[in-house]
Amino acid sequence: MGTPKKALFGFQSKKSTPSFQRRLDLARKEEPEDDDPPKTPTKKGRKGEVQGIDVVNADRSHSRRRTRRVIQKTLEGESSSDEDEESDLEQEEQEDDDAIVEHTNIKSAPHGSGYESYFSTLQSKTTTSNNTLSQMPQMEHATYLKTLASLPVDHPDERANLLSLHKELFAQWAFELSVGFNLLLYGYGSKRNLLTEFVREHCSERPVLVVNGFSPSLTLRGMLESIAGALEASAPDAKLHFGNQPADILTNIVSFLSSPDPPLDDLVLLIHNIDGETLRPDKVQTAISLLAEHPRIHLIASIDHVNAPLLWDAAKSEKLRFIWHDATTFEPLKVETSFDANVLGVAGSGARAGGLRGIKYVLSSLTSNARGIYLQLLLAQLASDSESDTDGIPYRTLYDNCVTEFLVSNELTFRTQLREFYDHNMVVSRKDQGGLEVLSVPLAKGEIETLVVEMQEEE
Amino acid sequence: MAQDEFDSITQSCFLIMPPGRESIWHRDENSETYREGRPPKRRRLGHAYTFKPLLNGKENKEAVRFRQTLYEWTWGEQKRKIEHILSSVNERMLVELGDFVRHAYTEEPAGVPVGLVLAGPNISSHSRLFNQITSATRALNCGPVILLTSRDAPNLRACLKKIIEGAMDAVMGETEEDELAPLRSGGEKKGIKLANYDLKILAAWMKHKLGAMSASAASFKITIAVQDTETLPGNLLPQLLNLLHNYLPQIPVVVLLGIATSLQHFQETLPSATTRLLLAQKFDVRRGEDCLEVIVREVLLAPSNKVRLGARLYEFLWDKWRMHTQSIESFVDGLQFAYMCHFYANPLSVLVAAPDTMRDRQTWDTEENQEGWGALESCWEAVLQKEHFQAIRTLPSFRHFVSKQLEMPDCRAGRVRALLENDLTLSSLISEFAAENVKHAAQLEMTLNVLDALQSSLVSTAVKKGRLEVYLMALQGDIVDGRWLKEMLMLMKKMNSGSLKQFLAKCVEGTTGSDVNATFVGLLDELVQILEAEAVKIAVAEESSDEEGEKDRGLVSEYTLQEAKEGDRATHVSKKIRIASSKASMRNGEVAYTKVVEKVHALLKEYLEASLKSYTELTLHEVFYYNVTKPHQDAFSAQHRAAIQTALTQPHHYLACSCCAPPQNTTRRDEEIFDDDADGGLTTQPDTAILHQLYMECGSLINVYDWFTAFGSIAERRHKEDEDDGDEGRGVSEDGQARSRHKEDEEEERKQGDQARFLRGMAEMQFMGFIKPTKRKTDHVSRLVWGSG
Repeated sequence: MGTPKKALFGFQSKKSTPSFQRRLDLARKEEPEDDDPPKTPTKKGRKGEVQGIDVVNADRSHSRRRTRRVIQKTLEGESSSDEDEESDLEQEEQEDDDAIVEHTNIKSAPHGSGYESYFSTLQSKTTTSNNTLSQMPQMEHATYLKTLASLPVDHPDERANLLSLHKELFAQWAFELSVGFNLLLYGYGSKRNLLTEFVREHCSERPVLVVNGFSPSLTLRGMLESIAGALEASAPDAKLHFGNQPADILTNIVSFLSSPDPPLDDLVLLIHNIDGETLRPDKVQTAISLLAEHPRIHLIASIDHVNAPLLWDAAKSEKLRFIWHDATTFEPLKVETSFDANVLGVAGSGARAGGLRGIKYVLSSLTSNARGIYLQLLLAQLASDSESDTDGIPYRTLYDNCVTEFLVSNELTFRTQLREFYDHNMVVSRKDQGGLEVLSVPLAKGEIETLVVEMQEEE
Repeated sequence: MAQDEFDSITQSCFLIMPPGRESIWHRDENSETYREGRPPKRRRLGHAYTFKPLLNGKENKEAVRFRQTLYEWTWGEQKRKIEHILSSVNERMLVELGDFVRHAYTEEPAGVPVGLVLAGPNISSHSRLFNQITSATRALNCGPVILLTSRDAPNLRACLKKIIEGAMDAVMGETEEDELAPLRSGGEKKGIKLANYDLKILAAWMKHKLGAMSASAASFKITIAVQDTETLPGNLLPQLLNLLHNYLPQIPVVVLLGIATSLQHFQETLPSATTRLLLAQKFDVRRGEDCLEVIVREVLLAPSNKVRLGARLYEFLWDKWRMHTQSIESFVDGLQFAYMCHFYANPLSVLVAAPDTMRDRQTWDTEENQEGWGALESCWEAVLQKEHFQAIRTLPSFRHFVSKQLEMPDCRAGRVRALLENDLTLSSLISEFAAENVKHAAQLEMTLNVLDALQSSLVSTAVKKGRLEVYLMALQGDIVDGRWLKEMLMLMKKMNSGSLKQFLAKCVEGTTGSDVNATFVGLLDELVQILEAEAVKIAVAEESSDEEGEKDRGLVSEYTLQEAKEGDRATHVSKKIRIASSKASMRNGEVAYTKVVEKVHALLKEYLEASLKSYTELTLHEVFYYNVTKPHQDAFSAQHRAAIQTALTQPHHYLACSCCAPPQNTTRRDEEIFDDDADGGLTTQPDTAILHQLYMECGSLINVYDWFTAFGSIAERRHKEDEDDGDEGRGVSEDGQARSRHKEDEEEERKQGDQARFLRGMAEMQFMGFIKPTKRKTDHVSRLVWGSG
């Protein structure tokens, strides 16, 4: 295989390139106890197929040439013997075969340009090693945060420089905003601080509704109610009633704002991550676009997801009237990713995502009975920890505990509740040697203690 | 306002009030005084924005404010015009529709009267259109009008409820609440409560209403307008229409359906049983192109326009409209942005206010505005400063002007020198330049009229081009030498006298009313007269002749004769003979007519060549034409994904740091960066960038642990590099053992740091949508960008 050629956008290869492999090997050498060297990725399948097709093609052209040669000779009336001709042809065949080999060599290079590489990536079966994260040292969420905080800032001067460049555009942004356009900031890095600063400098005279689009607890209704509540407070004598359904609230807000002389200033709507998970449904985006369309609402938004522009169809993007600005800051997306449990969930069973915070978050939205069940589980785990080294509590024991505490009345509800805990990764279940199902909470002892204290205080 | 107010992330959504206000919503006490001012927006915005001083910050305050005012004036005017156009563009259709609504319903209905509004595929303009329709229909005063959108009508019940409520609320003001009470329960059958979506309520209400008003069903009826017919769920529309049909005598109704696709498609979606119940009539909404043409004509080409679009930007906006959005609004947004950019970023835009010498024209619609603009014009010179003149002198068009002055035979070097050295001399010329620009624009408008006239008089449609395209060609300055004009002129030669006369009349019509074309118009008039004289002569001559059929066709020129017989034989000699013979056989009149045609041809050619020169030849065209596309591209067709990719693959592009830049002397950077020997900047790059580049090497699945290891090895090298740098400076003085223990701790800490960095980078990658967790293999993530998931 020749040198891998890089296609557009630095797209390189579908398989681990030698350098990647070498890097891995190098890393392995440094850890001699690792006795599971990854298999070298093999190139099968795809190459073979390509070769097959090419050979057929080459064959065809070859036979065509042979026929042509025969016809030519017949026409010239050459009186050479059949044998001569045979050997002649054979020799040529040899040459042709060489050509085929060369040909397929070129073809079988896996990096076609553009679309070819796309399809080859699509079809190829990736070979990856069987390493798992158990080899990676575990890291508590708290440690993770602490370590991050203690790390030196990367490229501080350059980043500050980049920020100051963006800040120079503030006046322009304010201009664009006030003539009726809305702002959309894109580019790598957190734009939260930048936007906050902009709003503080240029929109301090107006009420600002800050929406954290990355927050999982955000709802459209909450957003609309904040606006509606403010409107209601503004005109207490008008007896405004905005309704209960998001759609009603929205219509009423818009019609209230459109009334000839609404008693309020322009509203600034600052949405960090308008592409946030909770804002993605079409309904929400339509609502936002209806708000943004109104001349008295000024929308400032940011996006981070690579496919974010797909959120808006022609009608919506026209209503949104965005002016786009490249605001690459290289600031870490610290706050934005703090809600996202999944990746860290993968990154090690110990390094539980939101960890304590995530669990608290889920608990706050559960019924008091469900919280009670979880409390039972926590208490049991604390008790078992101190007594023996088998952590966790058998399923049956927990159920009995809960029944005696009048938290559940039958096993079905108990199961359903546990299901929810599983879904949020708040409970880990495994089978012990006796085949008994054992439940445990994936938290450190200290964390469990604080959680128990907090929960008991709440009760 | 404290930092933490904004920073709260525990709340997903919160309000921040401006400081010093008890309630954020307050009534503006000054609203009365504000309202007098212009533009009206100011009341809300105050001076929420200020322009920045340009000319390296040396621009004086007055000039900055002047630019701002100019923007508000010029764009305010254009915006008003555009809004007027947009609201009036469908006037005729609205009148027709009004007639339909008024008369469609008869006492003995044969079916549900349905108006099909073919609104075109640009769905973003539909809400504006339907608001117009409903308000126009309401103004007819023939009963309640209900606007339905698919959002309001998720099912039949909701839809009926909305109709009933809408109808009864619309006239609620006239009806007493207690009168309605029995109706709500179904009129006659007291005691039985009807569901709120039962049309019986509406029927009873209508009966009551008609009785009270003693009006006939034909003059009082319910109009239901459905904005987005195609998006109504399932078979809601047939059901609704069937129901309405069943209630027809009791509930007089007219339905208006907005159709974004085609009539044919619409018909296919309706069951034929339903179609049979309808009495349909279709209404065409004006095509977007026509609307845009009006905007371009009235706004861009109008002589009162101060800032015009240059060829490139106009092409950009038009292409975007033609090939992507088809939306007038986004075109207008682009136009507004052009004005914004021009006045915000070009210090010389103050010259736009320079009064041109063609003062007689009324550029503003009201007296007040005219005066206001006059005031602006009077102070434009006051804001100019030294730097402005310097900037003018650097303009390419001005340099061109000066060098042309020098080449002129009667050039006075002293005058040219004064232009370059004396600001006053230059300033006195600016008005002239402005006039030149305005004159050129006016001329161009006339010329486009002439071209339009020419196009419409030609029979052949092969050469026809829309006005928008012709305007672009005119801006680009490639009409005169282009094939298109040549072909048209050729075809013109073949016109018969009748259509030539018409064409000339149209030309005269299109070009009068302006002094710039006086000579041209004079010549045209002359030609028309010659033509008429000839025609009379011929007519007299023909009177006696026997060829009756020829008369009403008018005269034809030599060129037509050539063409007519070309079908016979194709050799050169035969052609020549034929021409000679046909020339010989030409009648007197035809010979004379041919001469006229040649004259017209020559005149037209001369005129077009003179008036179609590109605007780029004008002095100071940089001030009066805005022609930069980059800001528009950035603002409206931003490359969001490419920006992220660039930031992650070549961070030095943004950071401009020396450490991450690729080695200078190599062109094949990408390959070498993964070569351990020539690793260039990879080690120093931001964590996510490193992760991203490793990511790009992987297939559709990524083993997280391997990814981590690869990242770790790069991070390790970085530490080594740092250490080497550090060691050189520090020297060895510490106690060996302590140092090694110290080192171990450090190592541990470093490893932990690397892991945290890796986790953070991965979280960011997921947040940006590069990866997602997968269950296909343990501890793997699947790749989403530039690969398959």
